[in-house]
Amino acid sequence: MSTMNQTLSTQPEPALKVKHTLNPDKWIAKHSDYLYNYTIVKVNDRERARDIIQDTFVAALKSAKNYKGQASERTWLISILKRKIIDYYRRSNSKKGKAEVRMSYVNTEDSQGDWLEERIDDTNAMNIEAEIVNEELGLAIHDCLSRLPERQADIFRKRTIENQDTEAVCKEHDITPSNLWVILHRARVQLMNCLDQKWYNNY
Amino acid sequence: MGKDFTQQPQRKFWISCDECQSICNQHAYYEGNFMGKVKKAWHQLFCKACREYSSLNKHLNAMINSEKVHHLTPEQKAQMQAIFDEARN
Repeated sequence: MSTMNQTLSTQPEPALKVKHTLNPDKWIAKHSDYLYNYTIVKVNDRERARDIIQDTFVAALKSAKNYKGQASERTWLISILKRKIIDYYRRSNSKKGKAEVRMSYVNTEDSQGDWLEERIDDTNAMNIEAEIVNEELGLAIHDCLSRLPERQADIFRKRTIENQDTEAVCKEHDITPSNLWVILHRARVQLMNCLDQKWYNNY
Repeated sequence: MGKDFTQQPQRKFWISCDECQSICNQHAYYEGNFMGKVKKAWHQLFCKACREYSSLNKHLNAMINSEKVHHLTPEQKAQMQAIFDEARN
């Protein structure tokens, strides 16, 4: 009996499969800021980033029937976004042929021999890693924001990120200012904890 | 969290930790008054937990308002939503 129990306990438990569903009505409200941060890191152009996100949502809508529910909505959107970013670079490279590197170096006799060192001496190179880490901060914040309860996240976003007046937010959500401060306090504490786990533990 | 200083009589400047954190939040949004600031500073002199909360709160504000964190404006989102709705129909 005991050996049977042992064999039973050593058998791997079947993984719980959560079936995810799509909700296109809330895509822009829930995921646009996260995708925007993700795209800006890759593209480094705000306007282009907005266009790419727009294309992503439309493409996602068209291929919604192929969604199997194995990955979360956001993961699925990110995978489409990645393809859109690759398409963007492919398009921009095909237009220009190859990426142009303009060398505007003045070739005078005095400066001969110095050019290589000047090219190599990139003062920003030391900060590249810090820069990448900073760029990922936006993703961490928006990821933590999406983990808050929907109403709390909405109130926090409006008051903190969009800088709406306390009065306007209270009116919109039909709450008193003291309620608002309690909600904001809870949201801030949860965000601090989430960032502590997601951000500070990683970097 | 910390001691409840308000239980002590005759001490108008003493506030509870909840009150201190609430003032702290209000100051993060440039709201609240001078008296609140004084009470908060006085409370934080003796309360390590609230000092830590205040520093974390400031840090959170700095992170959210960092230029490396990008947000779409409500107008941009509305525009995006309009184009998306058009594509849906």
